[in-house]
Amino acid sequence: MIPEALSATSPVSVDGVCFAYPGREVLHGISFSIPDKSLTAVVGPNGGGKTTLLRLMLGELKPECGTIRIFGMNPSKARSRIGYVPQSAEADPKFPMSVMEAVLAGRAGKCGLFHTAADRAAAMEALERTGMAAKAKRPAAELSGGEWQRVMISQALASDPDILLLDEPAANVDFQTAAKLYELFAELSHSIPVVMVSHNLSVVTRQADWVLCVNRTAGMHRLGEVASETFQNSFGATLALIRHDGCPVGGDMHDPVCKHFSRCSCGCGEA
Amino acid sequence: MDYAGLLFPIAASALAAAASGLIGPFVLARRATYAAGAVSHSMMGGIGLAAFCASRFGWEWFTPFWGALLAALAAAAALSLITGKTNARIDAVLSGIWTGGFATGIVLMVAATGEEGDVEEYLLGSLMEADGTVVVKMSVLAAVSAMAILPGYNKLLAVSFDKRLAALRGVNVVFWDAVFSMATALAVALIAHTGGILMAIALLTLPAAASSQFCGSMRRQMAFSFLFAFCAGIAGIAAGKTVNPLFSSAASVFFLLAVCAAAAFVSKTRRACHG
Repeated sequence: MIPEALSATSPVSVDGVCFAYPGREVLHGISFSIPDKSLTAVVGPNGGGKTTLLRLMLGELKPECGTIRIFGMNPSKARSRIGYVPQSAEADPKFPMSVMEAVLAGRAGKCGLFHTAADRAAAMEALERTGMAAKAKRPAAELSGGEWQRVMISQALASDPDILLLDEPAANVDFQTAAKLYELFAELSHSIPVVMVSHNLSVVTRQADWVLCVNRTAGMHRLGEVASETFQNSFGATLALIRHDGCPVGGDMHDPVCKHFSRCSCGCGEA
Repeated sequence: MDYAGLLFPIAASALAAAASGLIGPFVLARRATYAAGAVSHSMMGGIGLAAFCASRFGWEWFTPFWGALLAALAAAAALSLITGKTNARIDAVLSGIWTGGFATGIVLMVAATGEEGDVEEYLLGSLMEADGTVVVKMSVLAAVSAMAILPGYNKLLAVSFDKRLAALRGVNVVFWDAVFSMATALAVALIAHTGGILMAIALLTLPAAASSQFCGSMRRQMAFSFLFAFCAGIAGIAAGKTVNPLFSSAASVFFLLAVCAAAAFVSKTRRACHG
């Protein structure tokens, strides 16, 4: 678990938070802190409350009990400091705007009447980081699903966030692009905290510093401390480690997963 | 042919085209064409109210223009409030505004004059009767619409693109939605003043729809929508003057037909020249 001393200075602190949709409790008394300059992977089964947790951290939903503080502030007050990439954007992919304009929309809350050179420079830098700079002037309507997702990530980066919240950011992109994006998130996590919901446990094991297991309750673990049992408890499912470096398959499932994580990927099936 | 007499109708069609270019692409991108239809039809309620007040209370100053403008603004405000503050179904709200406003207008007209009045003129407009006063009123509405839209273009674009993300980026979505609704109401009143209620719907949707076939950015769509609507207006005036100069709505009818025909033509012969 995250040390007490660390939680006092954490960019995100969640304390005893509960949330329920009508007739269904989704989160019950969860508490954790997100360390600064780290990549925290949020894992758990579908319907376990991962996206709800992100929406609570964005201030879109209000907890029924407990408190959430982002940089010591109420989440809705801290929005301008949060870069967020949704699971799927509400935006019309055929909306008449260029890729650059779509990214500049990420700075709409910070810009004045007109976009300045600094706004454009920030947008272009964000596009370069996601490998989309060459398409800056193209109509966004011409982009593929994966390119569109990279534009949405660029939009979040263009807002110069102090924290990144990513809800399955590579769900619609191909394997190679996903790998580059995860490397980018890992790189970004050296300067700001990055919180990423992901079902891809192999990515979690390769890139994340911390793992937040969410399934109605939540548990924060340093990656090296987490065991396969933790994932099993979190997912409520049978997990199998599949080694892909030539090492024997079917190793001891009770071994600390950190021993395998640099070389192994995890699959999971319903129990 | 009295070419000097065409000056004001041409100026009026240019101002209607400007409203089409300024607001139309946003209406289309926000999928708000039904909202434009509801606001424009609700103006009939204001026109009926003006006729009723003039008849019963002698309020001659409260002309159909002011009635229509008031009704359009009220409808847009109601739309913003209801959709912003409640979970009401947007299509049901629009249907209520559309039919309720129009029916109220007819009832008030009948109550005021004992007959339905010039419903045809309000629906089809009378572009050829535009004079200096009309052009001045339209210019003021166009200027106010432009002042509402252009300074906040970037924020409005962000809100129109994705409301949720815009709100999360710190943009006041409710405020900019309200600004857009009011600007739409002004544009509807502007176009309908000479072009009629049907023209308001057509000009806020069809030129933008046609230009969207070959323009990939909002700015280009705005420019091409203006050109498209202006050319249709000139064609309508020329055709109306030639075919039936005595029918006051002829130019508006041909304007409307030109917009519809050109939009259909462009959609059919779509060319890929994005950029």
